[in-house]
Amino acid sequence: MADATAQAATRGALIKLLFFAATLAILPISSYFISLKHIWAGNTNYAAITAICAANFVLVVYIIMSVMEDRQSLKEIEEKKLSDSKKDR
Amino acid sequence: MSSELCPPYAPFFGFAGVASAMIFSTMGAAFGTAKSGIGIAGVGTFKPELIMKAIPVVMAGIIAVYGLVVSVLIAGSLHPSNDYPLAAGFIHLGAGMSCGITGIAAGYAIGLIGDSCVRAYVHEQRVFVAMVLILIFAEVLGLYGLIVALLMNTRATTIGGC
Repeated sequence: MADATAQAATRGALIKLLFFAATLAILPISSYFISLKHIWAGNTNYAAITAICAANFVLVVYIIMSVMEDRQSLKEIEEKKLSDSKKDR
Repeated sequence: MSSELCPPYAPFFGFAGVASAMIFSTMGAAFGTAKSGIGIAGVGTFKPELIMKAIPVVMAGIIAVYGLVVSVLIAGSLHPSNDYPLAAGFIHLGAGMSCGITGIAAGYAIGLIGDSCVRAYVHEQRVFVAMVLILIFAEVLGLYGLIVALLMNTRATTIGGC
């Protein structure tokens, strides 16, 4: 039983990592070209700044998600401790 | 159609700038990813749930993204069939090298920081905030190189013809 949950947890983490890898690969360069064509009308400097902001945005989302995961796992450990102490009674 | 100011070997320097931006920043990102990946693999044997703490790996990847953006930026303003001033070639070479070699510096720092901080995170949870702060300082080294590359590239577009 614990093996299945461990497997599910690692699969969820793997999917998250793959999603972030794909986003980091695709988002900055696509935002460069799209913003170059449609938003900045050929100004390459602004398009490069847009791409850099997109890449750093992905990084910030990753950091926030890892902090949230930290808090959630801490809460799960607290709940498990509570349920274990209740079982002992 | 070459002259003194637009010799035929001028595109060599421009394209060397494009290549060096990508090559050197990828070298830095590779070192950062590998070194911090070793640390994360070492942590993963004790606590597999810390896999999402692979923040140094993502930051090293962003260093490579900086090099990619500068390469695309410089390559976008290269038209070898037209006249290409040698001065513009030198400027593009400088821009590419500034972004690339600062990427090596940033990637090196990220690798060492990521390795030791991820290992320390196993024992002490509060190292996390310090790790992110120090990694951000290492990341902005690559960002400074990119800003200088952008500045230089702006100069190259204002050079007149031959």
